[in-house]
Amino acid sequence: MSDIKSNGGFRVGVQKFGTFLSGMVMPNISAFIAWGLITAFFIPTGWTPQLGAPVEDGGLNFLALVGPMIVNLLPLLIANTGGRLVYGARGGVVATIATMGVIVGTTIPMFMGAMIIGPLAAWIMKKVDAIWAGRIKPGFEMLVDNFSAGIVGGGLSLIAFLGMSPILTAISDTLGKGVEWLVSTGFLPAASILIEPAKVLFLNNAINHGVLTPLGTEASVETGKSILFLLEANPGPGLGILAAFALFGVGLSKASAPGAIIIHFLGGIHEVYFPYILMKPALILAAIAGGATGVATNMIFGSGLRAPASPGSIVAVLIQTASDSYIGVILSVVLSATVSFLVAGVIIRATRSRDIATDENGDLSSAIAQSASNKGK
Amino acid sequence: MSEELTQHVVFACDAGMGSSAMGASLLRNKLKAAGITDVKVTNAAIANLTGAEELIISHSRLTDRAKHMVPDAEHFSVDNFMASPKYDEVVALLQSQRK
Repeated sequence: MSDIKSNGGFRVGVQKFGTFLSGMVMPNISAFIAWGLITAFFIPTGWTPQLGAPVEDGGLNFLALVGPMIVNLLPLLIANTGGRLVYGARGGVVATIATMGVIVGTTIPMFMGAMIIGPLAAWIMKKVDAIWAGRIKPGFEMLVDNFSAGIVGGGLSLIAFLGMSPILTAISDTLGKGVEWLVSTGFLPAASILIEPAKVLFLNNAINHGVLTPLGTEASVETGKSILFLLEANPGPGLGILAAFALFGVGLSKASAPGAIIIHFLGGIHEVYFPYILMKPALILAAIAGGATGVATNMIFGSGLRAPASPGSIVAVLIQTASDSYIGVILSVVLSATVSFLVAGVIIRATRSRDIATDENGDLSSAIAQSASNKGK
Repeated sequence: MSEELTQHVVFACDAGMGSSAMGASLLRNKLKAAGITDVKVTNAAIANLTGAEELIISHSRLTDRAKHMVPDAEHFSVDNFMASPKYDEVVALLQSQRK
């Protein structure tokens, strides 16, 4: 019992930290989508570049939105959400002010900076407030609150500007170089060995939005696209596994797989395929093989997405696909689904006779049995 | 089982956007089909649970965290978001409260 408990404690800890990271980014995904769409339409290589052109060239100058949105809007939103997680609306404001320092102090979009400075600034504000909590003379609360937050926020933005910008630029460069190295040496598909199991343990958002979205967006500004957006969000591996269940599964898990395919592949809610892997853990091999195939495909074609695809639906993926990347991205989804389908098919068939004999698939089978009986089948 | 009527069921997941929204929709439909109209079903991120929730549904891998956030609530764990017998248990519980 204590074993299970400490195990669960570790898992809860990892999940919590991951949620904290993704929790700063996910509520703001719509802003990433807005930026991705504006970019897709109005950059010179976009869908309607004539509207993006300056007014004197007969356009509406919409291109002007692209830079400030990515450099200012997105990191500030992340900082605000991060600060809010730590110390409410007040924390959010101080976090946003402080993050302005790193944004102005660097030339690259400061997602990492926002994710570090934002919560840190809010935490400092919380500690500063605690110094005189309960000692302010009645009637002076607003004066003290406003000026303490203004002074702390302003001061932190100066510190961030001078002290943190070079450090964060260096970290960001190192991470970017690390990814480039993984791509150039061909090791990037190996990332699936970590990503796929972590996904199934409900660290999917933590990995995708806590790590890959910020890194990918920084890369996307420079090159117009990033492969990183597809490392976790590619719906191919899950599709292959569910399809294998739909064809080779035993009665009950088989029956629910087609519905799960629709929710997963079109709705983009990957969580629906996790239970299928959790009940037959060997299938993680199928997910890893499929995921690595997808990454390798995009690496070979040099394809990527402009902005994060969230949720990881094929619709979102195609909308965010960079104009020069349709072949690579579509192939990566198709091939990863094919590979995971084949591997999952072998695994499911190998254990099939046992599954039929016991007809025991845990909660899933009882779940399906239950819902089938409810439908009066 | 408590005598009070549960008025609000919260479906919690990691981000509070994806699977919990789907689970809440499914449960809402089941409640409607069962003729229970006075129970509100919402979805939330586990990190945003307030501590005042009465009944919380979450995936079994996330229930530890939900319990940590709201120890006093009644917790249900599901393994499969799309078709879990737990939905029917929740519906049955709410029905039994209303008899």
